[in-house]
Amino acid sequence: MTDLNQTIDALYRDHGGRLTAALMAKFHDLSLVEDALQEAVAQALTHWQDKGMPENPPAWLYRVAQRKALDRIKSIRTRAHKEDDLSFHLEQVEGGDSPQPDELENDDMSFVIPDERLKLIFTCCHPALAHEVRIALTLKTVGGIDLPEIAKAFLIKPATMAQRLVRAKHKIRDAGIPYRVPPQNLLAERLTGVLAVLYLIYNHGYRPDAKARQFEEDAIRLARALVDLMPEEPETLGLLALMLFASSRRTARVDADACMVPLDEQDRALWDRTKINEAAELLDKAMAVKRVGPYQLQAAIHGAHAQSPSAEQTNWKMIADLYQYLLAFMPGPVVTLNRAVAVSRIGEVQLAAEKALQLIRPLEDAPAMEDYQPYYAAKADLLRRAGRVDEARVIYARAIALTEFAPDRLFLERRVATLSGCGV
Amino acid sequence: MQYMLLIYTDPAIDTSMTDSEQSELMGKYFTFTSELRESGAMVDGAPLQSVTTATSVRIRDGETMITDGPFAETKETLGGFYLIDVDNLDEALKWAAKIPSVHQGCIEVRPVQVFNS
Repeated sequence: MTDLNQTIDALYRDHGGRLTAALMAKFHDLSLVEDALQEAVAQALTHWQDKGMPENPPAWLYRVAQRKALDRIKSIRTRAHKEDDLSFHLEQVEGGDSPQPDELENDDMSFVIPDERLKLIFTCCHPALAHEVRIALTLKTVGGIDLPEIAKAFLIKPATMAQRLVRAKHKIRDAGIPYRVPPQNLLAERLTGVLAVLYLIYNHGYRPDAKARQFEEDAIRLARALVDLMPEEPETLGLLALMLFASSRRTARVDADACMVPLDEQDRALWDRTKINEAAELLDKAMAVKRVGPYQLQAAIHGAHAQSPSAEQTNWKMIADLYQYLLAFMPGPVVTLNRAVAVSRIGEVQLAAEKALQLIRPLEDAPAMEDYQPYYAAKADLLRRAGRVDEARVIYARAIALTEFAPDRLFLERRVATLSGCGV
Repeated sequence: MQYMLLIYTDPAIDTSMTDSEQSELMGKYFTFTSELRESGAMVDGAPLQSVTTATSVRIRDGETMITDGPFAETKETLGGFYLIDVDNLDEALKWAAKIPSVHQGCIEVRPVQVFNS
């Protein structure tokens, strides 16, 4: 039973977004679709237990969920005594081809659920929805991420988050938010929100656990679809380039002891050259449009690392300049912090580290930095480089206390161990 | 689908306008209304008299209470409306953004509730 549970969980993670999107194309009601899918999953648990796994589990879930959704519409309409409407609606949705669950034993292996996820993304990212809700809704429906996990990321109670999502789903249905990829005249302005959401999904996939890998790949696949849709849009190209550059280093980011390896100590032979080359090509194409934006700049920063033959030859001056430029698009402590780290690599070690520490001094009181692990990890490293061992030790302790992932913690602990006595 | 476009403006701005500014605004409304009507989306619409002419009615415990105004704290008050029939919210928002007062005030876009009976 537990095995089957896990199988279904994994199945839903992989296919939930696609299933939701395809069913939304038919029913235009996210609450209805999610409830129907949940029922289908519940039915799968008992049905597959008795009769074994179907040949094409996502297709099975799709068809059962479709049936469940129709049943729900039927019961609602029957209660409202609107049989005429019902038969019309059923005809429209079924198209005469909706087998009962029992008929699904020999389901067609070749049945492919249509990919409607772009429509789902644009709908979930509609500007009539609150910003946080757009991100949460996309993460949940398209990214297949659990609601409690999303709530945790937003520092909101799961019940409050659930309530917000229900309200949003009802608004999509009741306010007539169209389920579509926006027409050309709206596409550009709607895209900005979509890109932000995809980048968030990607970042979720950046986590070191194996499950997260799926989000990284999902985000890349969705970004690819966006590039196909808007091949001339430089920021979409930039976002995909950024994802591929970052993703190229995945295997190099963690060593054999499951310890995080910082970028400049990574074995560059492990970097995925295919991804790097594709990213570089995409970025060139984006830059040629001559409409710079934050994703292109971040991709360019990654590209500077990816295309440097060794850590020593990294052009830190250019990277620091790119961060300076990025500040114009994304003012805030995170970019300031990253720029300071780049500055710390230019020139004599101790002097450069002191200069960087000066640059991040204003961040000390920034509320966003208060529990921001990367801030403390970076600051500790700067103090270490500056030879301020005792101060570094204190900040490392703070960074370790805030660290969520084991590989990062191990890395910081190893760094602390090198501090004793000899300074840098 | 029907949407109510509720036009909220600051009465202080309305009264501080010169005659020529006012007639310019009227002209813009005239053009907008024509465009809306020609598109076939217009169901209804009207400007409202000043909020100072408003009267509120409530019945509480069987007693009818009639009061002057609503004396809302907000600076912007309901100054008029359009009722439109379009395909979706994007269309409604497109029309809302064309209402002349959108540059000073705010347009609230509300879908009209439909009962299947």
